[in-house]
Amino acid sequence: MQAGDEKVVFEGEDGNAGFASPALDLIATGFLLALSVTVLVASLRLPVPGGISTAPGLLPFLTALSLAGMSVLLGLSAIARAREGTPMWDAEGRDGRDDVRSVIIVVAVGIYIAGLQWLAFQYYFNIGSIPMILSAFEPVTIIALAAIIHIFWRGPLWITALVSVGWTLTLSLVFQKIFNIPLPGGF
Amino acid sequence: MLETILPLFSPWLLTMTLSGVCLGIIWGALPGLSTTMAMGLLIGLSAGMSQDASICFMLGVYTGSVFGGAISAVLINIPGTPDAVPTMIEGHQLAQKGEGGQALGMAIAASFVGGTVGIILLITLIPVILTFALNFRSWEMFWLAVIGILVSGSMAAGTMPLKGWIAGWLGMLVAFVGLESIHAVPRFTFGSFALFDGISYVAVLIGLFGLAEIFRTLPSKDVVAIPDTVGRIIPPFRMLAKFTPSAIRSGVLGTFIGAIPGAGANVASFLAYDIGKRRAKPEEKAKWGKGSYEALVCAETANNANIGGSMLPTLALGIPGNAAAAALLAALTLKNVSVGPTIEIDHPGLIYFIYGALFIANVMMYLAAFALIGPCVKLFSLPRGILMPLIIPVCVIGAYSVKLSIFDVWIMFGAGLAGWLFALFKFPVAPVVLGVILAPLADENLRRSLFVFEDKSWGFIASQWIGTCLMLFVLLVVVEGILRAMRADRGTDPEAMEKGV
Repeated sequence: MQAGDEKVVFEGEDGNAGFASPALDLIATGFLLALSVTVLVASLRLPVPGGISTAPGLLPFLTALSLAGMSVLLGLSAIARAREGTPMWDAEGRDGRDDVRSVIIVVAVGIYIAGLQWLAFQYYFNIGSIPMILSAFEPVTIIALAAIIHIFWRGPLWITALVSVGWTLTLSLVFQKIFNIPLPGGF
Repeated sequence: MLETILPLFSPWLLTMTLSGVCLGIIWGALPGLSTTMAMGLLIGLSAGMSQDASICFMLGVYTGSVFGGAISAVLINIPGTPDAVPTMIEGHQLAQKGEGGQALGMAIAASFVGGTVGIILLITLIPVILTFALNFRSWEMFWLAVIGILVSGSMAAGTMPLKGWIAGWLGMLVAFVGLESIHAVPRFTFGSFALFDGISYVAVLIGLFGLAEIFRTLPSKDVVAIPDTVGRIIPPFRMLAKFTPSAIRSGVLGTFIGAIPGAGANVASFLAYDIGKRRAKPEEKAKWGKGSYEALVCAETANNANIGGSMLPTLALGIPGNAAAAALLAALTLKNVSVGPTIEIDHPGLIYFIYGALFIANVMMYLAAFALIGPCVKLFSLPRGILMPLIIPVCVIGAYSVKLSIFDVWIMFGAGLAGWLFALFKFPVAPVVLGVILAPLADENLRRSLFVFEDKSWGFIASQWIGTCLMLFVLLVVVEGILRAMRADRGTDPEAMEKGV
């Protein structure tokens, strides 16, 4: 959609979806075909306690079969576009540094979740007469948030630390004390 | 009916509705944070609430976040939500003329009118659909589920419906994991007990719409220009009265678009914007794209009316009208509320409670929006590098809180990664959610109906006329999608081409 020249382009409910470069569509085709075949085989191996009409693998089989068909169509469309002259790889203004930063955030979130799982502990204490629980959620979240904010913002460290501690404690209090929802990182 | 509506006015439920509306407005206003993301993440928060509080809170979030997108669209030229793009075009042009506050005031009034039209049509149409839907048996429910996924795929990826369908089918495959419902046979669990209970669709929803968005937007460095002043916000009454017919027309349009599975606020606002121009007077038409209040009213009314519309198939058929409604459905399911044709039998009075909650949320949105414009402008100055990381622990808690399982957090992480790859490969994500939610319905009902049809002739099956009509509709959707893709491939698709608006 463009302003100023009064032109509107509607590209579907999800504006990002549509034709990718032929190479990307071919990679997707390969993955989808492999997935379809795996599901086809796995659904055929499922037990059939009643008749075929109530077989547990019936709809998964039909879904995988039609998915395989659609994948082939996707692949054929990619080949046709490549033959018509569409470049196989189209960077479309992608910034390689953004991709590296994307990988960094994915890895950081993975490490954060792993930390919550592997460092789980729970410690009960009172503030006045109010019972409180300290779990791995608080220290792990503070460290993870501080690290991620530092990587992607690069502002003063004291603000990074203050935001990480403040936000983690707010979440901890709101979820545990107001909504009675236990937090990950405990037992 | 009155006894089900009166509790809505209790201080606790009013507080919950207002909290939902305020959170929704702020969330929707922040660039990059969508309505579905808000709904998905806040399911976790609603898990600790009572059923009534959870409904009020989630409907408040839904109503607030759809409007919230208009604030950033008008003031900083970035649509907070995708459906706010037409609002951005008109509103920002007005803001540059120093009428940003008034444009926002019109957007608020239009959103309120849209929400009201949507609710009135919902109340009017739902008894008709429910009466009709009570005739639906397994065969019809199976085809309805298939239609939901197919249409969602078709609407999500405009020029490439194939990718939308593939996304929906992938969602179905995710939903097949776990014990199946008829014989309790474990499917695709690969010996893992954690998978016996299936894959949590709340975790999938949070991953696809929450974490994936963070993976996508956090690395990019956008600089936002914050306006110094907003100006007068409340528009003159004369202006409000002038655009009432356009508002009502766009509201009706937005409601009906919302009732189509997969067609959300985005389709509604674009279509109302387009039709608005065709029907506008010549002097108003000349302003389209250069700062037209009528254009802004058309878009904003339609996207808020969409809320009521999306509730129609969600409540009456159990088929979510869009991804945000799917999140609402997930929140209701967590509270053991099963919506669909028998909603009035299973949960007497609930439907009136939902009407009332929607109406109160709409009124609160109108009041809260004026109060929240200032704080939202302050929030825009928050760097993305600080704001987006703060959502990560909310995603983690949201996925964990449903079953208190760290396994679900890993599922959410996997879904986030998948969502990021989907964006990279240009696949839509909304059909995945519809696939995940509707696949169990399709699976159970297909096998039940085939069991019933075992000794029957083809003539008997064809005589189930509602099912046959639905089956023909499926064929129609597929054929239309194929034709659209072929036209787009040749560069002649009217949707893919530029429309002179």
